[in-house]
Amino acid sequence: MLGFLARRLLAALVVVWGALTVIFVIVRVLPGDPAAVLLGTYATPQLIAEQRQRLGLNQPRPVQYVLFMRQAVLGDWGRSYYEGSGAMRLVLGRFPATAELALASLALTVGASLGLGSLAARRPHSGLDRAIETVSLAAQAAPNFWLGLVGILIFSRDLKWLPSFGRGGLWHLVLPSVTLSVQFIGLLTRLVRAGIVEMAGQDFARTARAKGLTELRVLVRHIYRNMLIPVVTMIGLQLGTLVGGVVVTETVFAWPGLGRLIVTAIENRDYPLVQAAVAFTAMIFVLTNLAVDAAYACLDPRIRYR
Amino acid sequence: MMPSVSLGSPGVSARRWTATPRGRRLLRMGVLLIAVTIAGLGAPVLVPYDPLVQRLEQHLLPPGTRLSDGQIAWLGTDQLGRDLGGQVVHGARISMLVASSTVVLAGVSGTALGLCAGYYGGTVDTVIMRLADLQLSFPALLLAILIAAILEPSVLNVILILSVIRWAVFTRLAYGSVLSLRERQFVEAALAQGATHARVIWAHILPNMLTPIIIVATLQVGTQMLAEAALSFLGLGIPRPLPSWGVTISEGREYLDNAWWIATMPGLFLTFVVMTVGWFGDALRDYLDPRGRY
Repeated sequence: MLGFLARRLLAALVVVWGALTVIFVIVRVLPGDPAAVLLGTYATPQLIAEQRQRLGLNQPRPVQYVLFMRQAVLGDWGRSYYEGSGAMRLVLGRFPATAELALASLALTVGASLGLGSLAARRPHSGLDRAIETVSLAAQAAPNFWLGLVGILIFSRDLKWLPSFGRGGLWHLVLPSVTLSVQFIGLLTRLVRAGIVEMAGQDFARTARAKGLTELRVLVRHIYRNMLIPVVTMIGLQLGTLVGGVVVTETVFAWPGLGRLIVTAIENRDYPLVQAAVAFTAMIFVLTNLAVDAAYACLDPRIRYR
Repeated sequence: MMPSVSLGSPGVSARRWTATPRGRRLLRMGVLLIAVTIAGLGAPVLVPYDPLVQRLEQHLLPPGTRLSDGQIAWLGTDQLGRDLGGQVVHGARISMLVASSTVVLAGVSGTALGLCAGYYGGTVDTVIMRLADLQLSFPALLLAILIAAILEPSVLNVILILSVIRWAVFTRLAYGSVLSLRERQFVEAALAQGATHARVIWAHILPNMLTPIIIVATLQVGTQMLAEAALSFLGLGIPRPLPSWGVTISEGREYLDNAWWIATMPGLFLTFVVMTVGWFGDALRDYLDPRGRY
């Protein structure tokens, strides 16, 4: 297990390095001059040249790359061109908001899909099962930014129940987290339903029923336990989609998190901030994937990593 | 001369493919998908007037209003008096064009790369598969946003970006299939007969790995439609004033208070089209792969 973790950590480092290189290439090699953007429409060529000098953009690209990597290793991510403060500090400052949103959505997704999936699996092919199946498909097909807007329209503008933007108490969290989780609920509900239907006929479930356990206890103690593995696998596979969803959802609800930060930093061509934010996201992403793999081994004693 | 040996399972071709419930469901879903596609591609015929014509005096009219020229704006008009119904139908064309061409581009290039990596092995394998791993370990939409922010917005660039973020899915899939196929006896037999590598890949390996690729490609069409809409919504996809669902929804955001239909109508249609693709993909998977391995 330790050897496995060490190798995975090494692989994770390689991924982060690759991500950094990709960011560097995309941000520096493609057109668009940050010095010009920073100075605005009225900048003279001389001012732009001075600004380029100050930002180190005059160096040859390989030199820029080496400097960039050295500073990344040393933990110096430079200063945001716009805000003037340390890029990584800005990123870390935004992280709690995103973590709050992501964790709330995760809890909502797991809860709702276990509930809906179990409900659908009680009577396969019944009217309720079909209805849940159709709703799950629709949930996967609906674009999340649109769902967010419809949510704002109904629950903020019409009913005035929920706030439509910003971060605050629990009420602020409702619309964004529901918006973010809908597509995952659709996906996971179908998975849970299929899993329960498959397992309900197996020997271990029959034995549990034969012992005289109630149907609910069989479900919770025996079937859910076996469901955990495919559910965790699916959550791991969907992490990338979650990151994309976070960016879009934060934009719709003006949620002050990492996704919003990345979009504004890109609009401003704020290179250090883009690099710090994307590198941080890649790092969190890789670590979460690692955690998912480790969770497997804990959940299923049959899985042994060598 | 070699005796000809049929490798196909006997009796399969004797039955019509619509003879099974799965086949009939596939047929129904296929017909629905074709109807939706024709409705989208036939936009200029179905909606004979230009969706971009502005009639400022008739802006923000609710759905079902009769316009001054006698036409009914079934879905209402937007902030510039453009007919929303026209925009939605024309938006379908762009969405379908982008989604299908990106799936073809990513599918063909990704499959070719996975085939080469799996068949030849060695350095080719290492380089291609490490790149694919790197690609897959980076959140797709984040990469699309990064590239889109730097390129000029255009339909072609959106197609390129969305192809770049998806090739690795197909590479992984093709790679897995080739690894097991190349050890099979019919490949060995073909090589022993003197077939070239190109011929073995084209005539023996490719046909045997197409099923999962076709299934995944179908399901990816819906994903790509959503990705295009998200990019366009963020202002990084299809440039204005082309009628794209994402752009229209983003514009409708400003008018949520007095014209709810601008933001909601295109999303309803997008959801329906993506669902149609999903239904077809599921039916295709059940038909081609009854054991549900993919």
